Amino acid sequence: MTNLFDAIVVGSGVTGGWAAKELTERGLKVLMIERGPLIEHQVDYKTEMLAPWELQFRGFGDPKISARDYPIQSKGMYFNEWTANHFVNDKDNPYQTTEKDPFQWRRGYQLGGKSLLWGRQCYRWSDLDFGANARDGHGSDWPIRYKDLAPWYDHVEEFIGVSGSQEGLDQLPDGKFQPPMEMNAVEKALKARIEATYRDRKLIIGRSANMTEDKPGRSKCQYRNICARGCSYGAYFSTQSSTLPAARATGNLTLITDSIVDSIEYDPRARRVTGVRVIDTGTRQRTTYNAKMVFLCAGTINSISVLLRSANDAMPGGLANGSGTLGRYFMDHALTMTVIAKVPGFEAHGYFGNRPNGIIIPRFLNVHGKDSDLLRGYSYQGSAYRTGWSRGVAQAGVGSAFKESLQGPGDWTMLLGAFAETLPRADNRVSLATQTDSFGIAQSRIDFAYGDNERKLLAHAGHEAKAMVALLNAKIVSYSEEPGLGGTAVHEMGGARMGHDPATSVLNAHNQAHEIANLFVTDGAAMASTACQNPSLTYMALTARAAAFAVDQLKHGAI
Amino acid sequence: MKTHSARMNRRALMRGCAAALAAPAWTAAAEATTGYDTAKLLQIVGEILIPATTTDGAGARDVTDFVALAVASGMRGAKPDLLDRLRNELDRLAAGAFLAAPLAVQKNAIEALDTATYAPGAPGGSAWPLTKTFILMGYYTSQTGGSSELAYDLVPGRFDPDIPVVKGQKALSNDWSGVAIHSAGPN
Repeated sequence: MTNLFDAIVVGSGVTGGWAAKELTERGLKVLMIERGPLIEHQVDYKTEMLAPWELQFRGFGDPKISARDYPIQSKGMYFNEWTANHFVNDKDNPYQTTEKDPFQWRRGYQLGGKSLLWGRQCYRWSDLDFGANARDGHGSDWPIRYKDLAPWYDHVEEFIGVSGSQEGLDQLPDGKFQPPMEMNAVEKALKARIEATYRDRKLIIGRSANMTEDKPGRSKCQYRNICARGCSYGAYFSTQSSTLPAARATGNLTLITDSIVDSIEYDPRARRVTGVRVIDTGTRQRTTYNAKMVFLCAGTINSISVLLRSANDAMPGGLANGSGTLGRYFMDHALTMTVIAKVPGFEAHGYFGNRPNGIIIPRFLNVHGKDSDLLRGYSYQGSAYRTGWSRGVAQAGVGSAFKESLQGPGDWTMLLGAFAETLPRADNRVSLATQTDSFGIAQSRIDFAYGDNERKLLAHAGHEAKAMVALLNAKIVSYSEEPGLGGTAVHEMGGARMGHDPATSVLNAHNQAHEIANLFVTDGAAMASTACQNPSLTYMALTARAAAFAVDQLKHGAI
Repeated sequence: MKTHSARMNRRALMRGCAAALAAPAWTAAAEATTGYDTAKLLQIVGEILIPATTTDGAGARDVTDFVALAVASGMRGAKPDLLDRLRNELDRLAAGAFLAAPLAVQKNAIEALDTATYAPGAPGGSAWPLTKTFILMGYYTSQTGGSSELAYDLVPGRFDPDIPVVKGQKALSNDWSGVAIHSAGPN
């Protein structure tokens, strides 16, 4: 195998797969490097079809193994006995964080990365989001606006398949959608009551990368809601189902797995990166691969860490860190399960199928002007469902009547969780620890805490959520305004932010390092703010746009 | 489902404690001939909690094996003495060796324990709620519980958002949103 390529893509997750697809389709010979093992679509989804009784712990998992090997990962909503092998072994992949606010770094180190595990919610950002930093002065202004990204959102949505409804909301631009999934009776009732009560609020079905129409080689969703096991139908977007087949079809892709990128090589005279230094996780052999350009798509924290580890004499603070901001302004959404409520009066209504999607109440705070002293806003995601057999653990009852009572669907429950935008703060940062991992690579250190504005936004969200579910005469059984620990939203962003000014940002408007023309960072590390909606669709659009730019630059000799 | 008032439950418990001072005849015989058999305990308790009806009950081997595994692995914070503590509570309520008691005595003991521990304001500390949780987990994730007593459909293929709920309708045991367990025991 040659060690010289047109482009190297570090990482094979959401953005790595996209970079590989876009670059290979434009004729480049691309090496995609994945640190974890190979997981081939369909054949390697080992637990996909298993029933609970076919698993030793019936799907709940061995608690001793969870505590020993997955103390961080096992707290995530998609971790269970079926999916554990798609999450990192925390014990083998240590990192450093603070005792007071320990950041929960959720990861999947395998081909496809977290594209196998993600929540699949896809929302465009608007200029309410891209202009937020400039409006209130927190963080540095994005060097792009919605019009720059809109055609790329189109491109991504049309390729991956996103189901959703056209709503005409300024704060949540409509997209190129497949037909929306449907809401159940309680969700429809809540929608009607909210929209009749609040002029500025909508409750809509989630916009999800679970398809409602077939695509070539991929089937529409089968409503199993077991996505994180891997989906042999290809019904949701993952690297395996979507971008990797496209990249492979070009004949221009070389894929290596079980290979960690330790650092990026830099030629200070040419002011160009020349390649990457890689450790084979099996043999521990070190190899250097060279390329005309590098796309860093290793996931926010790993991309930052690779850049920091690539410090050299010319750039002692880290590669492309002339601004000193590399690692800083690191963010995650502030997330809480705001309300869980029992909803009376719909006992005659049920549903069939496991919908892998919920509802969203888009941001309504500070949308058309400033409604409050709080900065920015929040949105809700949730769903209504009927409780299953597990309601029995919380109820008195013994015997055949009790058994019979658990046979049908139980009470209706409504969940609403709030995502609050997190302000960019310099003290929230990713750096390198003094400790190393088993490969001798410096561990990442994460210092992160939510601020006053996030807590007040979640308090506001709680107050409003109570009022909204009261419209259904619902009885609240759980309420929270407290954000989960950083990392629990799994929307880590920032640390290598885009910006106009090389003195205050790492990347320019095309995700290109200000100081290094052939280095691109297109995963969450590039983000200059968080908005309050899910970021992955924006990562994909930025990646596709940056790839097109990079190839154009290469063809014109600028790289 | 049997329900009792909290006052009646406390009287039942006190009657049980008083009766223990004068052990029934079957207790002495039981002590002479039986040791403490965890599997038998789980089989009896499981079958009383979820008896065989048109489908098998929770006394089946695949359920009791799961419960034993759950305890041994410390699932949901279970301590190794969980079943010992359960047996002790049931022995008190049965006024003698629960395992050797007549079925009617065993049923009454479990029903009384269930009612007492799930009563509003119950003090907590009983081994029953977590044991009950494990039995239900073991039953409804077993092939019988999950696919005969309830319905199991891994590939529904569609979503019908609003259908009438009819008497006798079986819920999906794999309605993953609906079967998440947030905490064991009474809310």
